[in-house]
Amino acid sequence: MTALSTPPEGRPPAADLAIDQVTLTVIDNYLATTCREMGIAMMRTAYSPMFNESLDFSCVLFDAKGRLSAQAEFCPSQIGTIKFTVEWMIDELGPDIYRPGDVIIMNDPYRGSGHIPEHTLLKAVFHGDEIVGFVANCAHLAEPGAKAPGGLAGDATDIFQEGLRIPPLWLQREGVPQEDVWKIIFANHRTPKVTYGDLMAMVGSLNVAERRLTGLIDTYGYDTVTTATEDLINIAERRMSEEIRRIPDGEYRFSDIIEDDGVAEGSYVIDCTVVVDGGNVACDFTGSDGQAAGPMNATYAVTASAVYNAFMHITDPTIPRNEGCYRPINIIAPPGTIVNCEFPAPLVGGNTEVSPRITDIIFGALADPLPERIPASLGGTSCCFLFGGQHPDNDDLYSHFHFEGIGWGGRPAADGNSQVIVINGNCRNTPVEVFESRYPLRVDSYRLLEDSGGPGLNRGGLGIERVLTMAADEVTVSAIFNRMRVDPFGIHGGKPGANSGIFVRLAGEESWSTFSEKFGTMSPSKFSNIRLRRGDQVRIVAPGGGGWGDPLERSADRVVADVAEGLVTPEAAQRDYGLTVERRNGAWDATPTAARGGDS
Amino acid sequence: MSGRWIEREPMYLSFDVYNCAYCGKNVPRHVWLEDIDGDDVPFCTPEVADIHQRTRLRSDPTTRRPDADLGITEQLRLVRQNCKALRRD
Amino acid sequence: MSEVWVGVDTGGTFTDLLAFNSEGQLFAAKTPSTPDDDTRAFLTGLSALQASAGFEPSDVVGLHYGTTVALNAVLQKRWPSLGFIVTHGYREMIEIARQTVPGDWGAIYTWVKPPRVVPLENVRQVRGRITHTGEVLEEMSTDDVRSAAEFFKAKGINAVALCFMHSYLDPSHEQRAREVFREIHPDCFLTISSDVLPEFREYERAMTTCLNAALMPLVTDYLDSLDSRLKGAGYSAPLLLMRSSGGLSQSDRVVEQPATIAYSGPSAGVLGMAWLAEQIGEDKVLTYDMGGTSTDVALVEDGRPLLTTEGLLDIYPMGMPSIDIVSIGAGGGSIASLGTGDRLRVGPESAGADPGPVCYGKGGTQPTVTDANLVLGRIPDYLLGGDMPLDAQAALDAVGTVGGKIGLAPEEFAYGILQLAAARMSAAVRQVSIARGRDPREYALFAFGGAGPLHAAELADQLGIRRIVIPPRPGLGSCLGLLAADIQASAVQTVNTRAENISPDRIGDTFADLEAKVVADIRGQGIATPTTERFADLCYVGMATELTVPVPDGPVSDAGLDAAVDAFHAEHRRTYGYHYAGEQPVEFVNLRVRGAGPLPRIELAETTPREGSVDDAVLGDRDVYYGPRHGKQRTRLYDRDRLAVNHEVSGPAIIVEYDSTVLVPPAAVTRVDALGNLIIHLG
Repeated sequence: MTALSTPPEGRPPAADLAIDQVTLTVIDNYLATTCREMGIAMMRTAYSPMFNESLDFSCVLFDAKGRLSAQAEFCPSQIGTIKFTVEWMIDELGPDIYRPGDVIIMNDPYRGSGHIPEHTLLKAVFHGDEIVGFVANCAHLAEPGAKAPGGLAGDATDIFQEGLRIPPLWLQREGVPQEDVWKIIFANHRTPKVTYGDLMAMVGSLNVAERRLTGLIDTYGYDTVTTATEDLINIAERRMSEEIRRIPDGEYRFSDIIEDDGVAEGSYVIDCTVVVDGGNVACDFTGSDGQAAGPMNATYAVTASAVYNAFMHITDPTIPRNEGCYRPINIIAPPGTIVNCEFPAPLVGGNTEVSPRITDIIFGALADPLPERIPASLGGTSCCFLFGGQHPDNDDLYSHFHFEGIGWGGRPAADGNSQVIVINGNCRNTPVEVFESRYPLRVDSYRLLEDSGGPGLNRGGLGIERVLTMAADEVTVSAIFNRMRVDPFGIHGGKPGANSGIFVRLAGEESWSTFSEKFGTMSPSKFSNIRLRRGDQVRIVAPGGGGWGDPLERSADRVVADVAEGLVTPEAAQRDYGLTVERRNGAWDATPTAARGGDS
Repeated sequence: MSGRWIEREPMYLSFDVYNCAYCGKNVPRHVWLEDIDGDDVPFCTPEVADIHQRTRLRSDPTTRRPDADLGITEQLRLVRQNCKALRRD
Repeated sequence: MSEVWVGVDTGGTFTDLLAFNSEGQLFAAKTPSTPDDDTRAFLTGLSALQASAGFEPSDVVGLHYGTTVALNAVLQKRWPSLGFIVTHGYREMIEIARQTVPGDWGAIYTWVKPPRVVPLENVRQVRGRITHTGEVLEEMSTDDVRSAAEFFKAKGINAVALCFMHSYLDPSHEQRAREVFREIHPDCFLTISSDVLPEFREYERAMTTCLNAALMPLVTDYLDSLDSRLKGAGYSAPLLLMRSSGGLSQSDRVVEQPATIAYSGPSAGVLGMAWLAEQIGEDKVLTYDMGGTSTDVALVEDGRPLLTTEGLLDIYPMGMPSIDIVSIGAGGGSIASLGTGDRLRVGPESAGADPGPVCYGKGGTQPTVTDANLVLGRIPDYLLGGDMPLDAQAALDAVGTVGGKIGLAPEEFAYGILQLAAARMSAAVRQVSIARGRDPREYALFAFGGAGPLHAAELADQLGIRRIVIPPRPGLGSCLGLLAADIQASAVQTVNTRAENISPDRIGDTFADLEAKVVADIRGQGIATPTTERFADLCYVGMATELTVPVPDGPVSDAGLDAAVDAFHAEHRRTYGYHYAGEQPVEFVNLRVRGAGPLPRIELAETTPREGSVDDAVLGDRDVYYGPRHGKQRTRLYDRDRLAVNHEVSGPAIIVEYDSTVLVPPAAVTRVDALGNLIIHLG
């Protein structure tokens, strides 16, 4: 036998599975590809760039007992939240209420959703008269009807400022759209036609999944599919436990800081103790600060999802993504804290900012016990920049949620990647030519920022700088950034990556200012509804990743290559890497400084 | 120790959420209320209430019970089997 | 003397040739490929064909070629040191790419961004900016271009790509830059993005332009060398290459856009099936080409392959229109293994041609799809008409060993391998069909390639398809396409204008320009009477995905444009299930013209016998395992060459021919049609 060592207590070994491996593998593939097909259907048919350029959505299947049986990973921050969202929807509504053709919508973060912009649609799947499972998808709608266009108001003081909150409601009954519900949603969103297209794409995607699931049951029968699902869940649980066994038993503690909440001065500590015992792990956030006054709060589902996300990244990626792979991972998050806020606290930034911070904290805690797998800190912010207004070309209302990638942390085996999306979303950037054709903002530059990667034996990835010029008489902007004041940390002797930033330069001015300096916002990185004029410029800086290992141990060749490519300046090479790098007679040359044991 | 299951109606005019006093998760519909010193304390399941009473997993020394009669391994196993936030059957 | 047209398809293992003459006769030849220099097998095959068919080199009036030279160069990253010139402020455009992490669960600690085609030290920036409306915000700096040209010249870089922002709207900056550049560095291959792909989305356009620059020196050298060897052997016919878009082009056009021949061979195969589908009146076709290492699937509607502009060349986006082929690593040589957690996998690892499957007896030890077929009795214990014996016992041992680890008997496990291979292929099919809102059940499956006819029934079953068509000589599908194709040219222009603001005159002028370009191109290739068609890519304002619809010929009128908009609403509903007619403004994104220069086409000669009895075709009987539902059944073997038109064979049956084996499962019936195709109806 190739694989399994001792199975954990109470679980059958592989050979005792109720279904043969071939059928099991076919059904596993079938469920996973069904989720992927849902995603393809959604991506191709949705309206807003959030969907079809950025892929900010996820798709899941649940069995009739409400257990997650498969999911596809378009947006990692949703992988865990959607499990809680759908569980809540099924539980709050009860088991006997669905009819074939019903579609239910929900976005309430206090009912298991991530934040208001993320809307989840659920459909019960029938085979004959029986419910044989549920299909659901979750997507970030570009416009949820908040106080700020695009939804992410950096200075919201309660949930009601963050958009239209929807409890579980019937969007469609027995195939018939419930006009009353649609009308309320359209009346509250700034761009209702976009909302319509996106919701229709989500409904279409549920229909794809429904057909596939009933097709599977036609082929194999309900009993076989159910038994196979149970086997797959057990296999996933066992394999995840095996992975966790690789981490030495012990308690590992780490904390990091959310620099401010956009409403009140002061920072928030997130503190986590990771307890590993055999094949189980608990992440206990007791000791974290109380909930924020501004929107830097995570719900239990967001916190759990961030923890899951961290473990998914450092364990075997071939483990089936179902209920079972989450079972060995336990989360304790005291209510009323920044990692489990209570109604009606604002929380829209929890999903974009607190989530990657939690993932970094888990990595930080495991850096010593699991050295071969743990990277330094990522840039760790989504650099959310929101804007909206009336388009001068056609007088239409527009609003957009723009975000940036960041540098990844240096890793045991390689440098961090430059400018890739933050860990909680795997979203594409919007092409500049598409962006400029759609919105009245011009992108003057979009470039990697030299020296932004944290110095290390393995360097952190670089962040970017983007300069935007307003090309309409008025553009309303909002932002939620982090890591502007708190560095992305390095590990094992690596240095921090560069900070993020968002700056403004009014038309005719020479130098850049923070929004606090220019507009008196409480926070330089979180604010809403600042009105800019034609010709004003915004400069977005996305942070780099932290370094891994002592930069003085980085080989001269690699430092020289970085200087030659313009990723590291000669000054930084001297300061951080102890090498004087110069170009002589057309070739690069490096001399060690005293810090590296050289003469100079 | 004593307690009771309650089944909540879908929320209508008021909005209030029960969080499991052990793990913190908000519990949708079926809530276990444990009577602790005269207060109704919500939990995912009675088993979790029992674990809560016997020990605290929490790493914070101020809240961890020194007289805990369950080791961490045992706690995690019980939580995994019983906490509704962590598994559903 | 009769004229001869020859199609040559270079494959990974074999180079296939097919020819027809003006009397309608067909000739075929097959020779091992010579990957170190494809021209050798090309010439060897050609002289073999010439010998067997008895024509002279001077009789050949058309040489049509499906080549892998461009694809292999990209896969092996064989290109010279490249330069890239880009608008100031975008130096790292290619490095930044689309910022996503590929794969299922973007593993933070493992995935390393692959090296870019141009290292950052070879990127030069040029000031100057055009806006999204085509307005010149800043004039282009010729000084910057000069200094870039001098930089590349000094570094000895002789292939350079150039991409400026919004150049699809106004190519003047790029064209001016090219003039200035050439004054300084005239010998450099320089390719500008507005020539290669005048469409918006700067990263995709820049990457396509870079790949084009990368391939130019290599493809130019290769085609020069092939040309001189052909001339040396007495062949003077023009060499026409199959492009990924499914049209032929002369080699002098191809060297300007070498990235367009990346999927030359697979595209020819799809085109061959499209042509066949027209002959027999099938309007919805799923083409299925399964070989030794990979499987390619595509959709054909009304005789036309569906195209995409979102193709990939290896890991790089390729924005030029190409047939929407989805390729997966599942073929006869795909290896079955147990992964972590005893998860059964089939492919993408392949035993290839060497060592090949275990049954080839050339040192392979891991069971493959071919071994599974042999264990189940689905293929005879020889290949290529008996030229190549197979080791059935070795296959049984290998399949039994791995299957035993998870408690499966050899036959059960072998059946499982085929099921999983079919599951991977059906997922690929659904990917092409669902993305376009198509239901695969409405399509007929055209199976070809060495392994397609053997696996078609399993695949059709998983997709709910009821009808399978297997052409004669399934191994020659790509050659068939090469001899059924036209010369094609196309041109595109991004316009980004809302339908309500559009001026029919301006659209008419743009179409006229594009048509003139296309017609001149095709006439330059010796076809006097090209035909052209107009298309437009439309989208709802603010939506990112466009749909292509036809635009009527003749003077452009409001009515004609309205018709295009109506066609767009209808196609949107078909593809996505809803539309916004009357609700949401529509935008014309790109205008396209496609032109065709007709060439003489192959006729499927009546090589299939007209009379005889089915019994004459029987070769014998054997036991074949059909899975738990049908169990093991006594199965009759037939010789395809002796099955005559209108013969019917009921499943289970196996029909053997020179380079392929056809499986007719239990409860299915197959009939030979007038052109010699096998039409299988599943029960």
